[in-house]
Amino acid sequence: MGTVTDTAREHRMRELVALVGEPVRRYLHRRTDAATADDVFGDVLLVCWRRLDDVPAEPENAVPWAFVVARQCLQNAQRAERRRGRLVGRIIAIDPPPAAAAPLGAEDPDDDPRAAAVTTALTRLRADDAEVLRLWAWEELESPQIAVVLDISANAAAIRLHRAKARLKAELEKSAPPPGHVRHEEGRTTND
Amino acid sequence: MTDDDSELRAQLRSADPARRLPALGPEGLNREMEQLMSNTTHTAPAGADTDNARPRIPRWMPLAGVAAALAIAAAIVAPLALGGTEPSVEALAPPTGGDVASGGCLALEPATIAAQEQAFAATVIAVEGDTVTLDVTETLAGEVADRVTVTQVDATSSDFSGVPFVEGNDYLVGALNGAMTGCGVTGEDTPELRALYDAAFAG
Repeated sequence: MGTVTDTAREHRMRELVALVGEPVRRYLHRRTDAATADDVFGDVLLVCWRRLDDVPAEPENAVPWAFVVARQCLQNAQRAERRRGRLVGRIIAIDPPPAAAAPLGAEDPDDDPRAAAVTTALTRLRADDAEVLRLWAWEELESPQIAVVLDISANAAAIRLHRAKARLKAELEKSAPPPGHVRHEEGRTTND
Repeated sequence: MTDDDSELRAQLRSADPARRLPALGPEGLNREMEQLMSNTTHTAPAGADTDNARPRIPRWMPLAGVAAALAIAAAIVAPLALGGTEPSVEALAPPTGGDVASGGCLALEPATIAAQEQAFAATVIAVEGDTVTLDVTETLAGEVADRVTVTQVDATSSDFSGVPFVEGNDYLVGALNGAMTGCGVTGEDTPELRALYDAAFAG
């Protein structure tokens, strides 16, 4: 396998895992249930190992590169799952199973109302817009790195991010209570 | 970043599903690394064939079984929650044949395949008239719907670089700008073509 020895390769892989492991794991947990995330995480590491020579040298580029791998691995896992779903879907009426565990954070008892409003607003946005915002806020990427993950130009990513922020703000304003709303405080009703 | 942006980012972060996910930490990542190494020992990357170790069952096999069971359980629940799992479908235009004008197809190289914006493995599930429906089994590059429709290759008018699609057969498909690529990039999923795709995407 060329000039790099197994040990040097393994060393590079360890460095890569230290760099991208946690961000990729979080990326997956944000987009699927915990069991699938852990399963796909192993797939992503395997692809990273096989494609170690393709990993960008600069750390700021390696993370978005790994997100692209993660997205593709997740797509393949979900595709396989949908395939099984179509196959198995017909028997659910006969023997409905108990509900599976909810994905992490799906129903958090101490979610603040602000988070719930954001979650709802995100679902109202176009999928593209929502994903740009997730990459920006959750994965903490800036538009040049978002461009790598989404395979678009840096310019397009900057525009898309700008528009998505504006659309999210508009959605949040829509759901926010109007200024002259009726407020309930300690049993009393006041108009402000 | 403006204050407005900081506020929006903070608001979004409050809805981050992974905000309470405990970090694996160096020990956890090390464990993942050990597991990976135990699974890939003596397996050289990307096409090399140096695996002379005796066959063994990887440690993750039982876990894979559990994961598969969970995935099936999720697959059963998902249609209930989502109200059906209709596959997504996209159409690809036929090969443009641009290479013919310039004197025919160049020798097929991994770089040509690596340049494809979309690449996937798929099985032909229907050929109705001129329309071929492919069920995508594996995405190798880009975003690809669950199913892809293409126009059947017309042997009399095409550049002969395409292959007619046969129901039930498996294909590797490359596409640029929403058009299927001819010149041997798209073809039956043979070991030879698969090796080129593996070299191009190594995934």
